[in-house]
Amino acid sequence: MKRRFKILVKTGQFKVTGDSKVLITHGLGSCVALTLYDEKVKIGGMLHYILPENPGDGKKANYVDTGIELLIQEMIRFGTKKERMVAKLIGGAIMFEEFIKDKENSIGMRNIKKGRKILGDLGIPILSEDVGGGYGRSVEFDLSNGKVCINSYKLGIKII
Amino acid sequence: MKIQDLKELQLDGIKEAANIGGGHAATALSQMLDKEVDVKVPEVEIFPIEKTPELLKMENNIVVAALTRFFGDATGRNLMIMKDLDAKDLVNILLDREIREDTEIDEMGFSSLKEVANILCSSYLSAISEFLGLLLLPSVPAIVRDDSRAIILSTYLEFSRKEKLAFCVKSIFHFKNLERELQAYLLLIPDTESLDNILKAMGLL
Repeated sequence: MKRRFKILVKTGQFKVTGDSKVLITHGLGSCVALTLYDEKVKIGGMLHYILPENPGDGKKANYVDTGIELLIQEMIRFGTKKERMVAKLIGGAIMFEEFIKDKENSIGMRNIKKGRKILGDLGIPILSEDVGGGYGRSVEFDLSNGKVCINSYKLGIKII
Repeated sequence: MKIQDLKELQLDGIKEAANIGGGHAATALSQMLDKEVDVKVPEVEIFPIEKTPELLKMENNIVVAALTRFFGDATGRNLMIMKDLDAKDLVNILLDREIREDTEIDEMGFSSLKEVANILCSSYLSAISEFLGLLLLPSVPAIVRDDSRAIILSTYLEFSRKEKLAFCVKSIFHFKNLERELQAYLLLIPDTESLDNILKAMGLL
């Protein structure tokens, strides 16, 4: 296999690229990686967000409500069209399940729900998800075909 | 008190409390294992929340981590972190047996590591509690094996969602006189609302 150029998206960051590159992120716990892909031009982006809602003065890419605006703007600057974008959601785990009684209100679950709602409001379809559970994930997003490869110590490799 | 407003003198005070806690915890571990256990002078770490996954720099990120919560006059969390390989070696010492590098830690192993975390955190907290004259009650630890970056950030977020800055006091324990020196990290993460109580108890507020 050809060696692919990999670009790291750190926690609280977003990146957009094409050219058959691979966007990667590590150590997703309760955080969520949201990927957007435009198959026609094979350009995609990833946002690694930490929390659902920006209190107003927070760093924009840390939160899905403000981070997704930045991601979409950047996608459009790269020549994609919003109508063609499709999304995937990965992460939103509960790392210490024993301590979390109210699973529905855990930070991971709130991150997932907010991500789904915002995508719904924007009319961007969610193609697939790998969310929840009690384990960490790493993600590789292949821009040549839009596939997302998820690696976890618990379950190994999964492609969505 | 906000994290960004903490003064040098107050940070030194918190470090001193952690130092006393760390010393007692090292003694307790040393007696439990019948091996020499040292602890370095603790360091205070303050960084933006999105940088927390980088707090422990390690080449392989799989760790065993035990989270203890504490309640009482001050609330917060203690996170004990060991590199996967170090955790395996420690299990071997505790259970006097041989797990190879390529095998997983079993239930018995996790249970014994949980006991180590329990002794570490409760002796640490009880020394701090005595030093400050505050009541601190630890919970039973929860243990996981996973990516350190996922564990650390989630430890912050799940219990205090509004903070933009993360604060912790980091102590490193060294298990000596073994074939290979092992390390365990202990993070003290007080809830921000409890910082006032801790500082008041030391006469620093």
